[in-house]
Amino acid sequence: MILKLTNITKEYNSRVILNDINLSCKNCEMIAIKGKSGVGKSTLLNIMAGLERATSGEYYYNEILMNDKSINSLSKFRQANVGYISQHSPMIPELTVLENICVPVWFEKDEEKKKEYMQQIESLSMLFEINNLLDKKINALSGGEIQRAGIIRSILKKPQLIIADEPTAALDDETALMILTHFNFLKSEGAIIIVVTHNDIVSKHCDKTYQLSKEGLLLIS
Amino acid sequence: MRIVRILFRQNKLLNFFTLLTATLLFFFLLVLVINIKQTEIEVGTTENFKNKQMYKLSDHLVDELETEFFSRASNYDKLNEFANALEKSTDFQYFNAIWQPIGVVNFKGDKIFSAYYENGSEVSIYKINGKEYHSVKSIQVDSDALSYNNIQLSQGRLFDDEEYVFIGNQIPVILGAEYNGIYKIGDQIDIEYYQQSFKGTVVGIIQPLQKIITVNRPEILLDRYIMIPAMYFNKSPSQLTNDASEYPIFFRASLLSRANGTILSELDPVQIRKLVGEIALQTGFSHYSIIGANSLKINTLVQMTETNRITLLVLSFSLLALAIGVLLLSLFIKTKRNVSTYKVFLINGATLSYIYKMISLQSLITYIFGSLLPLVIGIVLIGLSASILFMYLLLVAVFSIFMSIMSYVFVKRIFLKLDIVRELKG
Repeated sequence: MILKLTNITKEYNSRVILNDINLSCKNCEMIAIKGKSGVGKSTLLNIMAGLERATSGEYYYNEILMNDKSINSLSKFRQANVGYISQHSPMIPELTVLENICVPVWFEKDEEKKKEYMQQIESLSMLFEINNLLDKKINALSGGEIQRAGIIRSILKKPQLIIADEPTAALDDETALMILTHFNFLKSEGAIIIVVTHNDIVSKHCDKTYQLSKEGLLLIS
Repeated sequence: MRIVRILFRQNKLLNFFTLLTATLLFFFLLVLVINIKQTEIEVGTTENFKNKQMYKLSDHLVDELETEFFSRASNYDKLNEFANALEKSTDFQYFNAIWQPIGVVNFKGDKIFSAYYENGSEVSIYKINGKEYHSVKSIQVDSDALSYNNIQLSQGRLFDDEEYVFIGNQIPVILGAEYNGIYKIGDQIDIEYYQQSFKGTVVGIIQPLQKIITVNRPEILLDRYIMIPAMYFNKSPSQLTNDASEYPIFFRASLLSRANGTILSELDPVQIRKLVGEIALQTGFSHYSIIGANSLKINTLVQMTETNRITLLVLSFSLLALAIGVLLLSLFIKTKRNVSTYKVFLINGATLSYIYKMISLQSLITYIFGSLLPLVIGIVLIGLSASILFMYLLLVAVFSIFMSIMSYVFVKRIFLKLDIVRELKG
């Protein structure tokens, strides 16, 4: 499994956001992307997650060209392969923590897999120490607890590609380490993990660190 | 469906407001359907009267002249033949719609049905042969009066041809819309009409707001009326008995009523006088006069009906536009407030079009639920006819589908403005 970006550019209303981005990563790899605000880090993650399409260039995932895929095909790709973690995990306030975590399960048709995901929720909520909060409404949780619930939801289906946009920004160091340890475990199971971060602790856990700037994506360590 | 359930759990107040708006809109739509249907009937009815003159025949038989006329059995035959010839004439249309109160035993309705309630009179109760009768509003009609006035029933049937023939004391009865729930089809009503007792059987209930046009009163609203057939005799009265003193008052009254009908024609008064004069000559009955043409009232009525239809259409389109505006506004507010929910669906594999579809489905379900209360009220309380209900359901379906498609397009535009993918950054 390999993810490859070649000469990716992205424009919004004639404004160039990303210019000539090249990146290649294989499974069992965790990479960090750093960069100043507004440089296009989130846009780059959205392209890799199949949430938006590049203006030009080529994006291959498992040797399949993603540029030509329809919005629906990209959604299926996302559903099957991608775990997306944003800086502040969005939640549905009217639902309980468990119901919020279960959202990916609703989109799954295979009953066996559904059971597997439910077991996965149990073990991950124990691991991330929110097992006693599952019945609570989202409003009753702290920012860190919500972020942990969001991360569980994103990795529940053991995605092959984890895209994380500053996932530890709302977490304390201890919890951040706990998450990173789990990321390492997922990496060892074959996942590609791409993390946008400003946190050096996070980048130190990664195999490679890139710097995104107007000039492009540069490997810095 | 779970996604739609979640959408319903969010913004409960706004969802309730949308449901309320939809319910009010469909109430209005139902009223509109009833009015359109009624206007259709009225337009159809007034078409029968459009550009025609109405003439009323009136007999001169009063006091001594009446006594003298009815002292001979042969005169009953003359009057009968005169009425028959008028009805059979192909030169003009002739119909009978006679406003004449009747008495009802053990009347179940309240005072609004009393004969002169609208004039402020008290309930009139009288006794004949030990039976107590309530005097109630009634109209006696022939089959032409029903067809020219396009009378529509919500239940049951109109009178059969043979039911206009006086045979015994069994007669069919059709009740106005406000009698719905007081009497039902098949109920028996003891009636007194011109001192003759009848056993009436309810065979039909008239739709609300049905009217009969007559010369004296341009529109008689039938909602509170009991309608009975204007009866005729299939034999000459003299064949029944030769002794004029044996004829009951009912005979005289029925014959006079039939001869005092309404002529509807495009012919001018001189032509009508000539034609009726020929009939009088042939039958030997000449104690009548023709009350002049009454075209102005009728044409005004036709014009008012047409104006009413245009006003209804303008009003309905204005209110429809207002309701659509309110519904789209609440959809806009809901969509903006639910962004976080849509983000959750989006990052977990839902497509944008799937989200639009779910929002449209939520709208569709809301409209379907909104249409139920007016439907139940229409069926249970108003007793609407199948054709009105069908038209209402058709409009509900068209409107709901239209609004769901509108919701889809509208939400798509909102999402485009919000740029929800870029919002994912948080």
